[in-house]
Amino acid sequence: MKKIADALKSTPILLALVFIAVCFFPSAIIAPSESSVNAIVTAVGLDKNDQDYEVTLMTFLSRPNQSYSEQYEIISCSAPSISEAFTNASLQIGKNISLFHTHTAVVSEKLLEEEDIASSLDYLARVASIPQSCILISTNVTSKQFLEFVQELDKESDINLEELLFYTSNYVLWKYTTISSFYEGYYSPVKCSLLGHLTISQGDVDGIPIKNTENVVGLGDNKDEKKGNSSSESESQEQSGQNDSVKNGSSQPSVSDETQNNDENNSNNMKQLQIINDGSCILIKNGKYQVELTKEQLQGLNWLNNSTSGSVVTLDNVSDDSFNNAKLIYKVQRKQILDRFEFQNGVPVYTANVKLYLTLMEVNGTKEEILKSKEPIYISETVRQLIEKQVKSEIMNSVEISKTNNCDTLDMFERFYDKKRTETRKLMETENIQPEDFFKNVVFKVIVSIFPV
Amino acid sequence: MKTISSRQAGIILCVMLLANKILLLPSVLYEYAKADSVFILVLLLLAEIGMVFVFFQLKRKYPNASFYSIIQTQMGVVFAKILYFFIFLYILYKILLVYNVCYMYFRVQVYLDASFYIFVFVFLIVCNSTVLRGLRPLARCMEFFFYFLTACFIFCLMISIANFNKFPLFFDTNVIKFFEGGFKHLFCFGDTLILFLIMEKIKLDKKGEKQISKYAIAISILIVALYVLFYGIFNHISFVHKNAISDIITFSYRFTDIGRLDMVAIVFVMFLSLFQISVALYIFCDIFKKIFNAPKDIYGLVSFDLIFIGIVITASLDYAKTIAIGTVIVPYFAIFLQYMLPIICLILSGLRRREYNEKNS
Repeated sequence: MKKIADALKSTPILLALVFIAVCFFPSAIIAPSESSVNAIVTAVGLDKNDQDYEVTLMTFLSRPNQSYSEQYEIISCSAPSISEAFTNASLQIGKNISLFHTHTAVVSEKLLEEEDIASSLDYLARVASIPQSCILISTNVTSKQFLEFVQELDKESDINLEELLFYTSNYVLWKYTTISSFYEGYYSPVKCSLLGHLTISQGDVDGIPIKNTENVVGLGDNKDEKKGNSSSESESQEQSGQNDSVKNGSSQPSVSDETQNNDENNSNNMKQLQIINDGSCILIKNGKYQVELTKEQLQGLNWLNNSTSGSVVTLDNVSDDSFNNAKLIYKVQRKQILDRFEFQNGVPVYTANVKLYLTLMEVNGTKEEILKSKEPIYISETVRQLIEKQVKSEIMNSVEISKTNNCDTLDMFERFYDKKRTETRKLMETENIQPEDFFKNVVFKVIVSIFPV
Repeated sequence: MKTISSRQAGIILCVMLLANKILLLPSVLYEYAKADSVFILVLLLLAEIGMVFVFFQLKRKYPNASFYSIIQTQMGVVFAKILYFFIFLYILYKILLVYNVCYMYFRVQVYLDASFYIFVFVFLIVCNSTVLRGLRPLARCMEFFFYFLTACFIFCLMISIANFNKFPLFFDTNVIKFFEGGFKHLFCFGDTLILFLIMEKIKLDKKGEKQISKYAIAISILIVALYVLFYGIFNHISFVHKNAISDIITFSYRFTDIGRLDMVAIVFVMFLSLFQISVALYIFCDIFKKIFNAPKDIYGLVSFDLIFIGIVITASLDYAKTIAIGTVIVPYFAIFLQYMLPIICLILSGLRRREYNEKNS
């Protein structure tokens, strides 16, 4: 004992360790497990019903099972503010809401149209435990319906929302669409951000279907594919019912939902709902919905984005020496953009020389035509002109849409300000132009050069 | 006297140069000078490196003397005591700053429900026991962990390169704001002062000087790289991100499958803060001994614990209040204590030597 006392006396750090051990080990041993105290939220949905915000949480609650499958539950709560809704959700399930593993935040188009979502997202942005890499997307239905659908999708297939969004961000949008990147756009001089967009629809459209739509409440027969008609319908149903509901994915809908949607669900039972990822996205200005860009319109902007690759150029009705009304599809193997920023007579002019390195990927023609063009480097003069024309028209079309909606999607203000600061300042002062309106004054010149590889 | 090698002194300098610069400062500076904060950082780091050379000059002139005895020789006992009392307060402020920023960081990143008292309790016990062992064991411990810490820091920077968005807009701030930002945040710099305060315990030769300079330059480059990456990643929302070293890693969802990569940053900050506070606390006790003629470190430590608990608990001093004090009062002290005092000592020592030589000739 004396030896131990001597050792402790001569090594204070050991004494410190003993102190900490005595004070903290017992409390650590008797503390309940993390999973019994915390509910791990993997996705968050935000909606608004009249004055109340509705928060929907896709929550992983650990419990023993023999199938080794992860079981999620959808919890939704309403309150006048997001933080109160989160507190209510904690009360409902008797656990702390843990956002450390949240990978997706969903907002409905309706919410985007009605208000500046920066204020709605404020709670999520302030709560630092939510990863900054949390992807922010919008949907045509309510985010509650969307997450319920995703839960069913997860049960029926191996398709995972996180992977789906990751792919879209990396290979379709070529841009981060996270909460952090939303705020970056929001606080930039042009106040413009981009959000990924996933729709849920019925009918004969491309998408990932689920058969069991019983648990996805409120997606009615007469649901429009666009603009969330169904969401408003379902919301009005939800508003009249109970505000807070906890619904297990494997159980039946809550009583209030069941009574209101009984007839509707019966008619839906035999129909398939589909999640559609068509590569579209939504432009946000000042935190509000501005315009939806289709995949083609987005492609037009991506021609001027250096980081994109693997795009495809489809030419219909090609008639030249080798083909007669054939359809040719080229893949862009590599892309190089040489851009120039200048002022001509006080007008900002952006010149982009887009160099595309293409490979013939597919030919839809006759047997002879396919034989003639075996080489992947086939590019005739006619084809070259057609590609140039198509790429130019896609770019100009997308630029026009951006200008019409006053969204500086190509970051022209900052790029001009960086390269030609004096002239940009002068123009803004003389014409009294705000940074967010600068884009409208830029003249675009596009040169497309094609190289077979 | 137990001395430390020049390598260990270089490592202590590296660790101290990182203090208060890698978490909150990039975001706070952005509010003043936007991305031009990088230039504020470069200027102030150059000043730090400049002060390292002042230290070498002073050390060459007084190889075995302490900074206190140099001031005493040049300016008299009373003036030395007064100056050391201000340094004493300044070091106390630095400890409070490192502690508060570190507490805020861990509370946000890891221990959401951690009680303030638990944190104070653990922190005081560990730091007190480290200081009781003396400077040499502490320097050895830092030497042991140095490569690990450097690897962690470089790892954070390398990972964040993948998140780099675009170069921020430079030269977009007015000059007044630029210098105001630099001046108000002087309290986060001036860590070379530590070298002066332990100068009698450093064994230094020509090779050692080179070694210390290399360490100082290398760590300064890494800090500048962190700022460039931080502003390149966050651009307009840099002011929101209060934990730079962690936030630059977690920005991208490319790495979400791997898990929480910011754990590397958390471990890095944990070790770094412990070492920074321990070194500062050691110096605090050393100054206490010199001012109050205390025979042992334990008196300084007990005083520190009482003062620290008193300030932190009664004044509920959080990081925001600490920084507010730092931007208003501390810069005036900092500019004198960090930069002017060592230079004045060097000039006076030169003059005295000339007088001495003239008298002798």
